[in-house]
Amino acid sequence: MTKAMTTAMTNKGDNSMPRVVTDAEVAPATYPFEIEATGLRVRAGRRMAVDGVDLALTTGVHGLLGPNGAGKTTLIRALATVLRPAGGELELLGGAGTREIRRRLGYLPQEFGFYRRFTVREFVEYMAWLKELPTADVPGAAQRAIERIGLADRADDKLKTLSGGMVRRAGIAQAIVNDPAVLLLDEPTAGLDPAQRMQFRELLRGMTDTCVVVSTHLVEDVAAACTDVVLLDAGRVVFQGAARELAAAGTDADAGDSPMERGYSAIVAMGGAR
Amino acid sequence: MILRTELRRSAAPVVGVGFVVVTFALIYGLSGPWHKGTAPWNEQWTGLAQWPRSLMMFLWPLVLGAGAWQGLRDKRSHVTELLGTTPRPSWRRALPLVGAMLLAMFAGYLVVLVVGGVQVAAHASYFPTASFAVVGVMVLALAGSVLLGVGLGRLVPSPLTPPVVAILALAVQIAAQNGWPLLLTPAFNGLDITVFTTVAPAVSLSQTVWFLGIGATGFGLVVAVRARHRLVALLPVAVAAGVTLPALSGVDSVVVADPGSRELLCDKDVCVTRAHESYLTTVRAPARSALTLLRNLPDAPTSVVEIVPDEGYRPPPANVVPMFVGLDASGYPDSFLTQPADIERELVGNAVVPECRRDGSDGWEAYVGNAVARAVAVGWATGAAGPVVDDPSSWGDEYDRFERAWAAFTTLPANEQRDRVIALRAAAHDCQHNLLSILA
Repeated sequence: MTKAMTTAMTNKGDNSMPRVVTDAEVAPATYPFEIEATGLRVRAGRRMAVDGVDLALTTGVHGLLGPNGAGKTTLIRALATVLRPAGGELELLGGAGTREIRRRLGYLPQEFGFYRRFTVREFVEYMAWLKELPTADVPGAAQRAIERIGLADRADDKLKTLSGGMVRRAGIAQAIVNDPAVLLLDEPTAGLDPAQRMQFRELLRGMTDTCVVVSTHLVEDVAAACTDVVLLDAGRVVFQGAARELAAAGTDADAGDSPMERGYSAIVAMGGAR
Repeated sequence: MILRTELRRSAAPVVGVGFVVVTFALIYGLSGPWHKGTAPWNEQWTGLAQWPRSLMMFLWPLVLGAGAWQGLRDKRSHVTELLGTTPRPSWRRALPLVGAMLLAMFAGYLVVLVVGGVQVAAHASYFPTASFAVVGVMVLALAGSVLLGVGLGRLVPSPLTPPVVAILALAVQIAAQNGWPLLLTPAFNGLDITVFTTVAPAVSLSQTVWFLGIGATGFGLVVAVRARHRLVALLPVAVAAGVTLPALSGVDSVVVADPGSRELLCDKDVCVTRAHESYLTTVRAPARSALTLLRNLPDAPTSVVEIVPDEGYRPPPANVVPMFVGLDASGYPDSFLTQPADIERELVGNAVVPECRRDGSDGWEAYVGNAVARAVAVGWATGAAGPVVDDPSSWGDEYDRFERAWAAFTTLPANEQRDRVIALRAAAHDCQHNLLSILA
């Protein structure tokens, strides 16, 4: 890849600094979908946890919903290049090679592991380096990511001193440090208090040119922040559409406290009946 | 930047500081052989190069264990999955970590070398270039051990791995203590360390190949992602074993004579080896006064010469007084004498009753008998009025025996005393036993 052509200013006002932007970042995408899966099958141990998923996702925030054991985490892990598909096709970023995909990927695993003795800044910088950001860009990128998730005041504290919610936010910071084209977040709001969850949704709404996949079991997170919903059940996609379409699928007879929840219940119940 | 982070946050600082602390705790906390002999660790370059190698007997298990502990970090921190989704190749990802560990290790070793080196520079007159090889092998051994430790931690990511690795390393060293397999570890047997010998070049060369193999395998294990990679990682150590084991298993002696250290430097009638050049000013005066005391004996000694006691050592001709510095006649470490009176007495003793290399079959009785005879002869030659021994307390119960022999000897007429000493001297130069019977 050729190096940087342009110097751009980020949109972070006071703390912004010049940053080198690579050709790949400014080039128009030559593919219609960031994520494209056809008949995708992925094993989790011996079980075929994802069993024939067809999916085409472009920029925007996609909520991945489904009951426990539906295959959400397995699907996310396959998208994150952790698991190899057992069958079907999976194309990320228009069929880019694994290394290129990983450069442009952000991933927060369900179990976010970290080096306890590192500070927030050190860990986020470390992840930026691992994602092959140019060395000169690493400190600036880490600072921006930490500010975006609101951890700037704890940036130089060791991770082991942070509360569960703060660690989760540090996990999100490392996932977004490379301004990823595909951002995969597995249960990102677990452990966040209501205010932090609202801040997180705000962050998601700002990600207009990223293909974000958020796996969650909290329907209200999806309702508040996602442009589109993918509902997974027993390893298959049972619904894909706008949030309001999911809400419309439910009736007063279905279980749930909100239209979204009732829609979710209705579709899962239909899947169970199949 | 990442290297700096690893230097602060990994086990690297603990490894570096720990190496220095444990090394100095051993050196200064114990009255070990590293303070004695011809090559004390802080007086001779040979000692400075070789004693830290010998101390690896204690440190090697710790270095391996610390490496293994560091190798467990990814597993312990549950980051394997997350880091596996990043594009940087695993070997590149490993570099800052192993770089930090190696830098800390080398820095620790450098501190030991500098602290020792400043002291050695004030004492030593002889610099054997072979010391570079010994230090070089130590550097490779430290690097190889750290890498192997981290690699083993990655290979078997269990909390038990570090202690098991450390205990196994200690067990291997204890089992191999006196055999050639010890050469597969960084440690030396301390008995091999003298200023007059150097590590055989073939040994250093073989160890270089061996530790390069260990290091390459260790690094291979650190970066291995799949079982296939781990198998490939074993290749360097297998090749190194194939090359070095035949050579090392045939080694007769780890050390060979260092001719440079043994060259004699003489000030007229007093000669010392090049390794002990600075000792010449200390011994010159007492050596000459010893020669003066003995000038009336038949076949009187005319020179004092430092002798390096090798296998097959026999006393030199009667006109040469043998002098041992830091070793006894059997090659065992001995203390340095610094007081003129002590040196004079020692040399007179050597002139009349030179030590013979003993194989231990003579027994305690003969040993004490010879020592008593020697002390009596020294008393006669120096004209002392009473018992003349360097340290009566070290004689213990045998001191009575000396006093009795001295009392009996001094009742003899002067001519008879002289004749007996002459007879004693002849018998001693012939390495005869039961010398005391000649005097009494």
